Amino acid sequence: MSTETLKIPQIGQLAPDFTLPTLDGEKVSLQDYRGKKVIVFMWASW
Amino acid sequence: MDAQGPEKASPYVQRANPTYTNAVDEENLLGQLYGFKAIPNGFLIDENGVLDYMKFGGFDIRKAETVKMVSEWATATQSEDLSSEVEQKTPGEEHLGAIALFQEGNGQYRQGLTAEALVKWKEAMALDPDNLVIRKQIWAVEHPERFYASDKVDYAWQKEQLEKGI
Repeated sequence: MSTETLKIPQIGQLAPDFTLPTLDGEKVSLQDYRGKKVIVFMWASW
Repeated sequence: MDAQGPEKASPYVQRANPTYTNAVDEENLLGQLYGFKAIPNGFLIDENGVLDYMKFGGFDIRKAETVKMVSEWATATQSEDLSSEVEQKTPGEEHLGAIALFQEGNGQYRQGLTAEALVKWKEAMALDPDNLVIRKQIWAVEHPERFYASDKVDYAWQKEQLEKGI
């Protein structure tokens, strides 16, 4: 089990990059959108 | 943020038919990186990958005020000061510990070992009771009728569960 603590990202800092599968089975990274403004919205079915 | 994967998320996406990309975060990777324990959240990130705005909890793209704020941000040529609503406290070590247990449970869930996954997820919940991403995932698997039987999630039931401490 991890015992690290997390330094949460702050406004004005680089957003930590992530790569996730899309619904179409592709992969998408935040990094792919460098040069564009990005809106990240987090939701779930529950 | 569905641990139950794309098959659970897809119907909502098909209904909304969005023009933007939808990714599936089964493992709560974003909660691990950004420290949140609940959704819906919204982040605005500029051309250089810098965080301009984060809202944890209650980010609703259907609200007029949210649409206005996001539109103004999106069309601004210079970065402007947004009143960010960062109410996140630095999470303790239980945060990442609980997510690690949650991820172990996800591995079992994907192998069809639902009972074992629930045991692991409940260990995660016991370690970090404030993590609603984990708690609600447990509810959705144990009580699918409260989530998927109709068009509407039964939020009144969720409130009762929280009041009962379940």
